[in-house]
Order: sequence, then structure tokens, then C-alpha cells
Amino acid sequence: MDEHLGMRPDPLQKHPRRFSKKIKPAVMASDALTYGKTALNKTKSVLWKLAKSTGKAAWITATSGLILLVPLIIEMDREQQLVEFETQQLGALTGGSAAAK
Amino acid sequence: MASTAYAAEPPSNAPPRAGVVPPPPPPLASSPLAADLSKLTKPDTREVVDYLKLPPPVKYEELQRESMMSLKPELFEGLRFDFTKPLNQNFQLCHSIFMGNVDVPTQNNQPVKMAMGTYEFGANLVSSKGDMMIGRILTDGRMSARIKYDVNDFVSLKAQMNLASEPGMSHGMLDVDFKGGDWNGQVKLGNNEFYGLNYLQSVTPSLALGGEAFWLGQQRKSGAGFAARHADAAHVATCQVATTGLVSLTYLQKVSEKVSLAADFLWNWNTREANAAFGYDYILRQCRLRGRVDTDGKVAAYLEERVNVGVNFVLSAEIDHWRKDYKFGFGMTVGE
Repeated sequence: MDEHLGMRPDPLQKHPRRFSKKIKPAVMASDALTYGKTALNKTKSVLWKLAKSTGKAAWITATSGLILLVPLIIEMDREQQLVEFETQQLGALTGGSAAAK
Repeated sequence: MASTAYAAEPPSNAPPRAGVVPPPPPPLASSPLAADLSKLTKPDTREVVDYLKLPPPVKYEELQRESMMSLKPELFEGLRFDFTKPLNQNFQLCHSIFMGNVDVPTQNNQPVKMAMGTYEFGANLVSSKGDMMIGRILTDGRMSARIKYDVNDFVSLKAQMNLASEPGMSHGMLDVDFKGGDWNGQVKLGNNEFYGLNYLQSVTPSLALGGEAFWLGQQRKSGAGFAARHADAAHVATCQVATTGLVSLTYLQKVSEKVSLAADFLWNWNTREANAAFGYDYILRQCRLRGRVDTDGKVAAYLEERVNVGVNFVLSAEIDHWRKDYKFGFGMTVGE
């Protein structure tokens, strides 16, 4: 028997005709299994990469928005409050003088 | 009977032609042709441009000043405290403390920071004529001085000196500015045998064209450049091209009296690198907020908020998404 060092000989190679009827359907079933496994692995890696890049995009958008937009909104709000306060004051002054007249 | 028939027919100059009846003339005021005619003959309300009396252009080094002020705030990392004390109408002292990190430029584009803590003392002397002398000294051994002196309406002198404790890092530059009616010229002399000259001419009331040339003696380098600036009440557009391989275009639009938007494009022909930046500049009563986005993947903002009369609170933020470098600084500026 030609035994390789520690490796068992392939049964299909040694006795091809004896195993053909039993192993062929089993081989075909294991082909389907490996196909299914690789498809699942690929889907998992694609979904993981998608999640990571979505996370990266969310981080970039959130931090850039925090730096660029939040101070702008706060300052515009303050400016608007100041303008409202001033028009109110002006209205009170002119309203008061009109009422006094 | 024949004579009455003749008398009844109204006399007409046009020979009567069979089958042709001239149409009644249209009323003059409402015809479209009359409207066009009136537009052509109405007086031209645009100002007549006197090409011999154009307004003077800005100085050549201030060509891109508006958009650079909006797009390039002095971002810093750490704590900054500035105190300016006027002793006199003409004389001011300023003290400044900075504790933070400073970027060290590296080869492989990795962010390397060096911690720095300095105290800077400065004095400004301004004369009523417009001459000034400004000096600064830092605790890490750097000194800088600037002198500006107007000889007369036509010639003005400027000198700038920077001394550093490391050998070879000191420079000095003398500028002689010439100011004509509608042109500005400048001759620059510097150490390391640097000679430069530039010229800017008003071509129309809003367009100014000019050029510059320089020669660096020690490294035997020379270059020339061309500049154009189109300025209006609402926008400023500039373009600078140099033989050193730099093309720089800037544009600033004053959207309203409080808001300006600016864009800047820099292209390095030698290293085939291009860089664009977009920014906004909100000048409100209580604050000044500048934000910018870069194609290098940088996002920066600079806020100066007026807390009290003469007291400003300063916040600076810069995020470099590409190199994952985050710089935040805060500070206080007391005095003007």
C-alpha cells in the first residue's frame, strides 16, 4: 500500500468504482453545503463591512456637524433673541411715548 | 348732381388703388416698437467710467486678504490668553500666554505634536500719521519687529525682522512701496540675497491686474507670477499663477452684511496636488464665527464671542478625519 507520511489515501482514488454509487450523491450534498457556507460567510463579511462604513460615515457626519453647525445655530438663535429684545424695547419706548401723548 | 357727388368725397393725397385699404395708424404710446425706441433714447443711468481716474487698487500682498481672513483663522490647540493694555493713545503693551501643542511638520504626514508653553511680551507704537513700530519677544528666544514709515504720499517703507535662537532661522525684509494714482508697486529686499518686485494696476473700476517677480540668490531660484483681482461691492474674486508651479484661485461672496461665503482652490503643478476649501464667515454683533471644510478631509471652526466690553472668549476646533488628528483650543482676549 502506498501510504504517504501520515496522510490517508483518498478512498475515491483507490477504489473509484466501488464508491461511485454511494459517494457521488454524498459529494454533491457536501458541495451544496460548502456553497451555502461560503455564501453565508460572504454575506456576513459584506454586511459587516457595510455596517463599519455606515458607522464611519455617521461618525464623520456627526462630528463635522457638531463643529460646523451647532455653534452656528446657537449664535443665530442668540442674534435673533437680541433682535427680538431690541424691537420689544423699541416698541415699549414708542408705545409708551404714544400712550403718554 | 355730379358736382355734389364730387364735393361730398373728401380730398385725399394718396392715389386711390383698387382693393388696397391702408390700415389705420396704431396709437403711438402702446406699440412695442415705440417701447424699444424709448429705451434707446432714455438717458444712460450707468456711471461713465473715466479711465484716466481709476480708483487705486489694494496692495499686492493684500490681494487675497478678504478671502484669506474668512478662510484661514488662527487655529490653535491649547490655552491662549492675550492681554492688551493701552498706556497712551499711541502706545500699547501686550502680554500673551500660550500653553498647548504645536504641529511639527513631518515627512510621512503623521501628526507629530510638540508641547509648547510660552509667554510673549510685545509693544506697539503707532503715530498719528500712520507710522508704526511693533516688537515682540517670546520666552523661547524668538524676537520679531515690524516698522512702517510713510516718507510721503508716494513712497512708504516697511521693514520686518525675525530673529530665532536657532542659527539660520533669522530673516529680515525691507519693502519699498510706491503708490501711484491707479497703481501700486513694491520692491522687496531680503537677507539670503532675496530680491523681489511686484506691481498691480487698476484696469477698470473693479478689475486690477498685476504681476510679481523674485530672485533668491543663495539657492539661485527665481520666479515670476501673474495676479488678477475682480472686486465688487458684493464679491471679490482673485487669481494668482506663478512659475513656481502654484495656481491659486479665491472667491468671496458677501451674501448679506453679516454673512460671507468664501471658496479657495490651490493647485501645485509640481507635486500634482490640488486642494479646495469652502468656508463661511458670520460677523454678528456678539460674535464672529468662521467655519471651513477642506478637501484634505479637515473640518475647522473658530468662534470669537464677546462676553463683555473688550473681553472676548475664543474657541478653536479642527478635526482632521484623514489623519485622525483632533485639535481643540480655548482662550480669552482682553483688550482690543
